[in-house]
Amino acid sequence: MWIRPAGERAILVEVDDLDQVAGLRAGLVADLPAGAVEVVPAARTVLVTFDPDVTTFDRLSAAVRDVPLRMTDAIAGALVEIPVRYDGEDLDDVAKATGLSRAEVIARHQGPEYQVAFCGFAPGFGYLTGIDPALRLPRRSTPRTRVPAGSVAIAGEFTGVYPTVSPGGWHLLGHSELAMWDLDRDPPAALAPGDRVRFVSS
Amino acid sequence: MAYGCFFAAPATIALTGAAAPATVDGRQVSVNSPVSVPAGGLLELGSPATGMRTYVAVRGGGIDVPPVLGSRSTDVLSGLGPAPLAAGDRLPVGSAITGPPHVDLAPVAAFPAEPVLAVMPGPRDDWFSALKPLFSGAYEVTPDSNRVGIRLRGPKLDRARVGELPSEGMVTGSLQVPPAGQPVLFLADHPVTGGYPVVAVVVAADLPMAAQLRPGQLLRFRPKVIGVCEAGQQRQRERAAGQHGFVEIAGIPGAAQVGQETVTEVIGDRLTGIVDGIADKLGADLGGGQKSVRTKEVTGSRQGPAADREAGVHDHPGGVEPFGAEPAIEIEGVLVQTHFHPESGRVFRPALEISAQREGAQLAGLPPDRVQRGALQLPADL
Repeated sequence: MWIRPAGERAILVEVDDLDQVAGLRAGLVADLPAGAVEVVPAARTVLVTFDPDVTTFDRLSAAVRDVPLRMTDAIAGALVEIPVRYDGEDLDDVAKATGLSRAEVIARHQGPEYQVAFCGFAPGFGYLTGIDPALRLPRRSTPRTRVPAGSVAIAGEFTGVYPTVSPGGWHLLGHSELAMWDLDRDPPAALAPGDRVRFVSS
Repeated sequence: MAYGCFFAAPATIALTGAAAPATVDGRQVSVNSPVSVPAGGLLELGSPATGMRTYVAVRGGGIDVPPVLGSRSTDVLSGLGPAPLAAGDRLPVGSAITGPPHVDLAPVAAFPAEPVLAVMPGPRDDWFSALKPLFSGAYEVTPDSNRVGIRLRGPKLDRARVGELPSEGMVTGSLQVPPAGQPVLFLADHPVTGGYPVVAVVVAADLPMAAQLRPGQLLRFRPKVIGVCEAGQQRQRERAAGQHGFVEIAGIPGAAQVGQETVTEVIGDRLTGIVDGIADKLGADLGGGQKSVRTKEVTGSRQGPAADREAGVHDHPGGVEPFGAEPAIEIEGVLVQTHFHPESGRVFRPALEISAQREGAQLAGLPPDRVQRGALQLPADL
């Protein structure tokens, strides 16, 4: 674990992989160190902002070093089922690129239980890990300028659901009617870091 | 006048931020001061001579639009929050007036023509071959700037490594550097994560000034440094509290980050070069000739400030003062030490990677278990 200052009021904690990020984030949220304000997980890091009136870089760093990096059932998040209609524009391309049939692509995408590693890109967008290695593809060489809201897509070690219309370079497998972001809901985001996710056919 | 609004009911308001020329019903009013507006009164704002943003505060509840995720402002990046204001909009304002205002005029310093913003290096300063360019000249605010961030044009920051950084969380004030080497200073609506390395972060106290920068304006950066006097007082307080304190340094590139006291040991004749390198890397005028980088040979016994002076501590004007006159760790040979202060709530960076604790070294004045062990690593360009 490597801890760096990110200004006077935050530390950036670098770990080895996404699993450690997930474990550290969950451990921090389950038992937030005194003075810690916000926990922002990303691909290899967890940013922890703090209130300098309550804690210090040293004390917070020491507390973070004491957090185990393993995810356990006790700190894992809720299970969210996302209904999907597998009618994505890239389904055939993905089948061709992976050497699988359309049905196999769908089955392999529905197979695992995913975990929300971190959120970002747009409000409501969660980066889900746990994808079948057979489905790992680089991003499209040319991103789309407009990906429809609700698109279920894959790229690299991630899958995710576009919450709103946006540009995007991931491969579109289908779409979901579940609103990933709804300000009239509390919390607005359907997914939070640490949540477990299953895709089910709708 | 550039902007104006009518008040349906009487209100007490205050204008802060950029000092725009302002009138109520044609009569000039001051900024940073309570202003009474009658029912039907018209507030008009012109363009400020300096600064970018003028705030209109309404006493007794403020602008009472529905909050979104706890905020009543528009987030221009995500599109959350109320829509940007347009002509004809009506805004509800609070009316919870409780007695007369307590302040006649808030003393607020004028904006400097060429602000100097203090930064804390990191978290990714090690991605750059040197921080010196950041402190060596002025940056210009380009028109490609908004509440998300300010794109700067000035001395180029060169990468020390190639490759991509996985996206990571960012705080307000981050100076992110895309491959072209021109930094972007992130403001209130910055993205939560970013994929380019952040070379330094503007300190919280200077963020309001950053938000008032206008396109075309010049600014400079300086490393945040704890001055000699403050550090000396800090040491005295720590001594009184039974803690060990040393002088803090912020802004040394190539440094390791640890959470406790750190010691960097340097062998023999490399010391002078390294200290020169530190001073050189800081580069900028740190303000005030009394600040210096000091190095000191420690030969055995614990020495005090007077002995330090006699022993010929050599100063490097333009650097900072990382080494207390009173050594707390004594290791045979030459020693350089820097420190994270455990209680001050600030982050300080050691000069160099923590060194190995030399075999046979004599430690005094600091619990040995608080000295981190590790391999000696020097920045590549020293």
